[in-house]
Amino acid sequence: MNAVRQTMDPSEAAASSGGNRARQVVDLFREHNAALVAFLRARLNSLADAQEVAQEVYLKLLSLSDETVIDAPRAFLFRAASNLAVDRIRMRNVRATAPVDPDADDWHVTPVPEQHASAHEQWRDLRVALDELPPKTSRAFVMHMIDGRDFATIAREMNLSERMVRYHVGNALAHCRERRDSAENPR
Amino acid sequence: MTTTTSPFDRPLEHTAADWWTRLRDPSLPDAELLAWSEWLEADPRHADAFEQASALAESIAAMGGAERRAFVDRYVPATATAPARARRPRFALALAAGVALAVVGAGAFLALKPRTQDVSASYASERAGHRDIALPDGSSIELGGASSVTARYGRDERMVDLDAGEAFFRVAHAERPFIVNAGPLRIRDLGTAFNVRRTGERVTVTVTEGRVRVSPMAAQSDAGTVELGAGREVSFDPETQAMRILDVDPANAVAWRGHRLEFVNEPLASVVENVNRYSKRPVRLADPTLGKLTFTGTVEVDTIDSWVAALPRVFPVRVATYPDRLELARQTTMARSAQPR
Repeated sequence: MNAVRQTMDPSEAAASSGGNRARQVVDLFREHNAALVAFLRARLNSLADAQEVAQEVYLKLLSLSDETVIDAPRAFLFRAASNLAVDRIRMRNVRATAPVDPDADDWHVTPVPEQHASAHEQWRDLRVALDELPPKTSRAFVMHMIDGRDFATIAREMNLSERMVRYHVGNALAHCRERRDSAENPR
Repeated sequence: MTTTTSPFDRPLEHTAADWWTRLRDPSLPDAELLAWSEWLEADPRHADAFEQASALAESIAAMGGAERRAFVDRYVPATATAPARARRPRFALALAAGVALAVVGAGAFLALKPRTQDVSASYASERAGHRDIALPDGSSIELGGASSVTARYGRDERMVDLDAGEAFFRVAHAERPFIVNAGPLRIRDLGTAFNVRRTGERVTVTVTEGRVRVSPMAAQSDAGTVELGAGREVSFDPETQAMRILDVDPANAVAWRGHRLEFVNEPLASVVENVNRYSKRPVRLADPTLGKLTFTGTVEVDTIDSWVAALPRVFPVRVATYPDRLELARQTTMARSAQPR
């Protein structure tokens, strides 16, 4: 492709807007890559997926035609990321609704013993932390974090506003962080 | 009390956790998102607290199926709808379906069916783009330029609609048949690899491995169904409504994956439509009768302009170059001298 383009229009290969676009994208990423991955990680709840989708965002921005003017680069970056995150979640949902294929799925495989032991301990600590919270707070937290419901569904079921559901989930998350922190750093 | 690690900063942790929950909302306004990114980038401690909160959330979300159920049972009081309700997370839903099937039998499972079936995912590639799609059962689809598919996986079958363009399917063997609907044709298979090119109602299916069954969508019975092995190709011609079977080199059918399009006796209209899935400047036929000329040969998708420029040597056409398109017109003696190139 490059060879062809150069023979067809040598002026374009040199100091053109194509180079500017690439530089703009590189700068954008240098400045905001950490925030981009952090944002995607919160949306997707997976660092590995976040890093992958961040790559997709990068490629998408690079492939924009030179005529596309990006006037609010950071907002543009997050919007592109947000759209690709939606695609990713949709893809997961297909995976989730595919009927159980014993050969293809590995989530039900019995964990190896030492992993199982540490997992057991980890979840016991989580249970202890959740038991310290008001029932509504732990319930909203478990429904969102463990049962995978969105805030709107939880709000309906618990007869609360979405804002309150979010408040409970945030509170519980901070509390669990504190308990985890004091377990790891006894002072 | 001296500490080597920074002490737990409760207000900061609450702010981080609050931001985390806000970011979970897909409809978060841009302005709030920007406010969050400014908060995050303002201080490394902010970024660190946010990362810790995210890591904890991620580890909890990765909880195994059995523990997941134990937590839900413990903290989420059962309501009237709770027992039958399909659990939402990606693993738990499949688990719920499996458990229902195992312990309560098919009758109860049928009640869950609408939730576990007919959820579809659509994928599209950009002009000149390629896209690889990994399906949940281990099958994969490679999409050619400007192509789109919709995957609908159900309990009894794996269904994929080829809405437009070209796709190469590599099907993982399973009991559930894998079915591709491509306009007038339906392709059925049980573990193989094949290519489907759809140009409107013109469809070409080429088998590279294994066997497939191809039948007209309209057929009530097995009438018109053909079975193809590797190295065979069937083309459906919408004008004659006929299926034509050819022996081919399977490598040619999937040449697009290496940026080449191969055509054998293909109407020029269809060739142009396929080329346009890759061309920066679309090719147009000024005279529709040109579309009936048949073309056999190779088009390199990276050098479409040169392919078009060479067409007057094999067809009675002339090429007009415009900034936004390349136009093919019927060649006349007059026009030849007035070529705008």
